[in-house]
Order: sequence, then structure tokens, then C-alpha cells
Amino acid sequence: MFMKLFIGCIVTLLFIVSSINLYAATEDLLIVFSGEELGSLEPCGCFEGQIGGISRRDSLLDLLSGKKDVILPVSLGDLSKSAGRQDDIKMEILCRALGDMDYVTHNLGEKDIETDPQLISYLSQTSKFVFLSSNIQFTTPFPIKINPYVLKECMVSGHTIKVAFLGILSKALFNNHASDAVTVSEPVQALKPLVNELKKKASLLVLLSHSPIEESAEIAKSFPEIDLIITGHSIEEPDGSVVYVNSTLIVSPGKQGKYVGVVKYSTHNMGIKRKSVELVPLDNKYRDSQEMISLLKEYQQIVLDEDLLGNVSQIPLLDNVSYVGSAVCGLCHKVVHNHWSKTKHGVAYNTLVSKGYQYDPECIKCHTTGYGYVSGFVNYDENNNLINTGCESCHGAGSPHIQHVTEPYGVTDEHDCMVCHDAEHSPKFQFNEYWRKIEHPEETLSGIPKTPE
Amino acid sequence: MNKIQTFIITLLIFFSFILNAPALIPGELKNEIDTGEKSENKPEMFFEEQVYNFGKMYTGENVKHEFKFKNVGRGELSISNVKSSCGCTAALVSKNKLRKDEEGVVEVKFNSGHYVGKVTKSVVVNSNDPVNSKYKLTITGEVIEEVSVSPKRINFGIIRKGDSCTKNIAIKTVPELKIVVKKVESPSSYITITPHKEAENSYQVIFSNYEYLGKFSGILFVYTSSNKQERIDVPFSGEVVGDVTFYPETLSFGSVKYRQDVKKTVIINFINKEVQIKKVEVEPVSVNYTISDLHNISTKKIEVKLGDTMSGRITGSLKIYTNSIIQPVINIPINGEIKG
Repeated sequence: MFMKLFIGCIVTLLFIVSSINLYAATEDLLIVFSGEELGSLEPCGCFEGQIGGISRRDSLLDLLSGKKDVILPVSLGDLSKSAGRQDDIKMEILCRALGDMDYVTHNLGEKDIETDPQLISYLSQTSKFVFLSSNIQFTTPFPIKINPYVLKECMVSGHTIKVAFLGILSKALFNNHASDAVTVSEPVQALKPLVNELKKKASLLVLLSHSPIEESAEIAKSFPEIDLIITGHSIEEPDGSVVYVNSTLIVSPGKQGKYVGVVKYSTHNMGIKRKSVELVPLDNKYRDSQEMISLLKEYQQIVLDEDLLGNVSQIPLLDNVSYVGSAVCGLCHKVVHNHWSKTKHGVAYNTLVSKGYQYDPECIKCHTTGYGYVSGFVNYDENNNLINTGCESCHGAGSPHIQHVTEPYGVTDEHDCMVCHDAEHSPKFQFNEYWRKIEHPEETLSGIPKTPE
Repeated sequence: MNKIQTFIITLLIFFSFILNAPALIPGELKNEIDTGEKSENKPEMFFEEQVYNFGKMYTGENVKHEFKFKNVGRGELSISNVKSSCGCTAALVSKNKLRKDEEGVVEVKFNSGHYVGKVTKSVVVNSNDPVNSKYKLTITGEVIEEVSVSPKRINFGIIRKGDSCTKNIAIKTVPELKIVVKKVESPSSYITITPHKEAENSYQVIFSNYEYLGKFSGILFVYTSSNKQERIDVPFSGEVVGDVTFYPETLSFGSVKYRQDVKKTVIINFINKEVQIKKVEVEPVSVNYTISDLHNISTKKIEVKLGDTMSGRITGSLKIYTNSIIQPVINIPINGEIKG
């Protein structure tokens, strides 16, 4: 009797353990999302501990795909930051990266539609993934291939699952002046017929809502059929942005591609069930993928080949003043010049050269003097006297000071520092602390007022 | 025997609970459970307010606010650091160690710098408070400009060759500052700026008489009497198209390995439906191309491959000859570098 009972118990125990193992081996569906890269291909390297970048994202996706789960990566919108050739190249590179990472779709954000319509046309016809928008219409003389929704069928744990992706852009974010070729309709009105159609076809409705969280919450109230809304705009720390409206999960990937969101679903005979949501910071735990490193090198080569440095338009300075170069300042201000040359400002150009970024206009503007202005830095061959963050980067163009040495010149304050030491490139910047690093000694020259600080 | 039965059943229930437990706890709930403990002898940080709204201020101004806090726990409160979300926000704590019922202040300073619009910046106070070790303080408000130009960037869009295009800009100033708009001008010869008769500080910006095809860009300068915004630069851009549009304007292969299978695509759109491609030439000759219809006959796709091009710098071009009078040849430069 005891033996029978014992064996029965062991069998039951084995059954429980095996069922748990079976459960652990079951495939899940992962909706992986990113967004608002704003041209951030990789951490800029200006400071330690930066997160984000396509090469780490690729590694994360590799790790996820190494498991048995089915992964559907999607993009919320705003790959580029602005209009211009460098942003166009970045958008092309990002689209290729998304294609290589097997993204399903990219929803159009307001920055995307401000880019060159020909670029949108080109990318919409040549990318490996589908461009998505349920409420944007283009009227251009050339074709732009945008889908109002994407219906993706996949096999998860033996069940056929159909996931419908819809995408909207908030009317509040759309700048009417941006383009005459674009019309953005009211999101709820645009979604109504599509949600009605798709709720019969799909097991899961996902909305890529390029809008503030508050607006997405209102959309969730109108469409309880939508299970997941990927949203947010200009959210720096997405960790605290997870919101539920009834049973709809609303979550943001944050900005500049620093985080990747992962929403996990399990499947069963009755349908599909959400299991968890996670926002993964792309820190140095994730290695840089070789595929993306090659793509980033290609980007730098294109920047060089197309001579973006030399092609930037130069804006005239007020009152026709001009840059003279730090060496000229040093002719009189020897002590100050000597001090400056030993600071990080004095070697700023070399820090770019050591990383191979000396042809990148976005980097060069803060690592040289006067870039983008008439008489400012253009390239090393033309004016190497303006390399590094020179005297005139803080004090202003020096020609009036040379002409009128006794007149006031060069008063500067922390606002001038913040042109380069901004939130993106120098988040740890504190004026008092950083000032001490570059504060130069006073130098009184005979007959001339003391050097301004 | 009953005791043995009870023991085994209890054991089974125990095992099944232990083995299933991780699957029953969703990831989202883990933090709540972890941080749920509270000890009577531990410190507790309490802030009277966690959000401060500074209202409105002008670009370039600073704002400072003191967040008062108190250790309402029993143990000593130790503040390890105060972290800002960005360089524009500085925070200082009056003291790092506070005994029971002792009060302190976190001074938060926000420097608006070049910000415009609504801002929300936060600092996180890290301490040994076991319940709330990361206390988030938020400073919020709106930064306004003395002078604002709308739009900040003019997009003329796509213009057919020979057509003109007019856009409007409006310049707004803060009335009490009595700022004067001195002049609005552009060095570009194809831009004309005329003031609106009805609306003050509104201007028509007219693009006309542009001789070329392709993208154009430039800047309008708005000069004012504001000390902070003496000159406001308003960039403009657009594209003049003829019979054919194409993308990209340069085929940049970047840096590729020898015999690496790399292809680039050019998309050609025929705006004038009567225009056709007569022939295509490519240099260097080792570069291959294929041409095909894309979706419809008004769009062609040309795929360009490097083929057996030797190592070193590549410079060449893809020339597309058409029957268009205004665009008989489309020249797309090819560049890149083959390594190894």
C-alpha cells in the first residue's frame, strides 16, 4: 500500500516537474519596440556611460532570437532629427539597420515627414520593412508606399497568431508649415474603420502611437480592443512611463534609441495573453554587433566621400567680424594660450581624430572654432589654425578685439558653454565644476585691460 | 500510514508551489515586492513638495528653487548623491546626514540656456531610505522667447521648374519689452521678402527665378532690437524638379571589402510621363547595373553592384540619358573605397 502510494506520488511529482519544463520550453511572442532615434546611430562618445546605439540593439535582438520566442520588432517613428544631407544619410543607414534586424514596420513620426519627400519615397520602396501610417497622406509627384496597417501572421507555440499593427501621428505634433505635400488626419477618426476591420482578423491589435502619452490614453479609451499602445514623445526616462488604461498597456521606448521595449505574450487555445513588459537600457552589457559596426563605418566613409564638412553653408557673423585663430590670440596672451593648450578644449580636435570622427559635421562644430560661420573652420587643410575649441569658441570672433584692443571684448558666461555642453552631449555638465577645468589665469598686458574670463 | 500520506501530500503541494512560484510572479510586480519591506529603525525621507512649477521665463534666464525635506524615520538618513537629468539642472543638498526629525534642503537650479517651450527636468535624490531610495524631484515650466519667428524653418516643398512659391512668416515679440523688428533679408537672389500690408511683422517670402534643378537651401535673417536675439536665422529649403526626379544624388558605397556583395539602388521617377530612358552608362566599367520597372512604368529601379572592381578608391558615375529636353543626362557620382 505504502509502495503504491509512494510510486504514485513520484509519478505525480515527475508530471508536475515535466509540465513546468514543458512550460519553460514554450515559445512566447515578443513585441520588441524602439523609437525616436532622432539620428542617434550610436552613443556620441562625449562622456562615459552612454547608453543606446544600433550595434547594442542588434546584439540584444540576437540574444532574444537565440531563445525559442517569436520576435516582432517595430519602430515608433522619428528616425531622423531634421532635414539636411547628414540627416538623410543617417535615415538611410537607420533604415538599413532596421531591415537587417528584421523589423516588421516603421511608423512615421513628424520628423520623418519633414525630411526630403524623395528620400521617403526611396526608402518606402527599397526598405526590407513596411512603412506604416494610418493617418498620414502624401501628395507628391512620385510614389510613396505607406501602409495603413500591417497584419503579421506567425506561428507561436503551435498556434497561428495574427498581429495587426496600426500607426498614427498626433495632429498636435505635426507642424503645418513642414510640408504642403503631407496631410495628417484626426487619429481616432482614421483608426475607427481600421480597428473595426482588424479586430475580426487579428488575435492582437498593437498601435504605434506617435503622440504624447496623454493622447494615447484617450485613444485607449476609445479603442479598448487595442491591447498594446507603443507611444510617447520626448520621454527621456521611459522606465516610469508604463500606464494602463483598463486592460490596454501603454508604454514608451524613450528617445534617442537608448532603450528597447519588450512586451511578452503567451499563446494558448483560447487566444493570446500578455505576460510582462520590460524596458531594456542598452548599456555596455550588450556587445557591439560586427554587422552594425560595419554599417557605422560605412556611414563615416559616406560622410567623408560626400564632403559634408565642406558642403555646410556658412552663415555670416554679425557686424562682419571674423575668426582669427587661437595662435593669433597667443601672440599677446602667451600665459592664457599656454594654459588653454593644456586643457581638453586645447586638444578637442585630436579627440575626434583618435576616434575617426573628424569628418563628421555634427561632431566637428564643438571640437573646432567657428564651424558653420563665415571665416570659421571648414577643414584641416584650409584652416588648421581653427582646430580645437579655441579662444573664440567662448569669447567670440576676435577680429574686432585686434582692431580695438582697449574696447570691451569677450565677456562670456555659462549660456555660451551650454551651446556645446547640452543635455545630449554633456549631461553631467555643472558650470562651477567644469569652469574650474578651463579657467585660465588673469593676464594683464601693459596698456590693455586684463583678459576677460 | 495516515501520517505518511499527509507528509507526502504536503511534500507534493510544497514542491508544486515552489516550482510554479516564479511563473506566477510577473516581472512588473517584482519591484513592488522587493521594495515593500519597511523597518521601524530605518530612516525615511519626506519632501513637502516633489514638483515645482516656475511658470514662465525668457530664454537664457535661470530659476532656483529649494525643496525642503525631513527625516521622518528613526534611523540616520544618509544622502549619497543628487543626480540631475541634464546639465541644465544643478542640484545641491544642504547636508548629507540627517538625524531623526532633522530637516534639510535640496536646491535645484535650472538654466534655460537655449531651451524654448515647455520643460520638465528632474533630479533624483539617492539615499539610504529603504522604501524610497531614489526620490525624484521635478521642476517644470515654460521657457518663452523675447522674439519668436513662425515657422522656424521654411519648407518651400517641391516646385516645378519655372513656377514660383510663396510662404509667410510671422514675427512675434513680447509687447512690454517694446522690441522692434529692424529688417528681414536674405542674401539669396531668388528670394524676395515683402511685408504684409494688413498684419504687423508678417512677411511674404517669395521663391522665384531659380535657374537650376535640384535642392536649394539658404537662410533669412531677422534683425531685431532685442539684446538676447539681435539676429534670428530662419533656414529655408526646397527642391525644384523637372521631368525626372531621382534618388540618391550620389551613390556612396562607403568602405567595403573586395568582392563583397554590395548593391545600391537608384529610383527614377518620371514626372513627365512622355520622358523615357534612352541609355545608361556606368564608370568604372567593372561596376554592373540592372534596370527594372518598379510598381508602375513611371518608376524605374536601377541596381548598381561593384562587381570585380579592384581594391582602392572608386570614383565614377552613373549616367542616365533621357529624351527630356531639360534633363537630357542625369549624372549620379559613384564613390567608395574597396579594401583588402
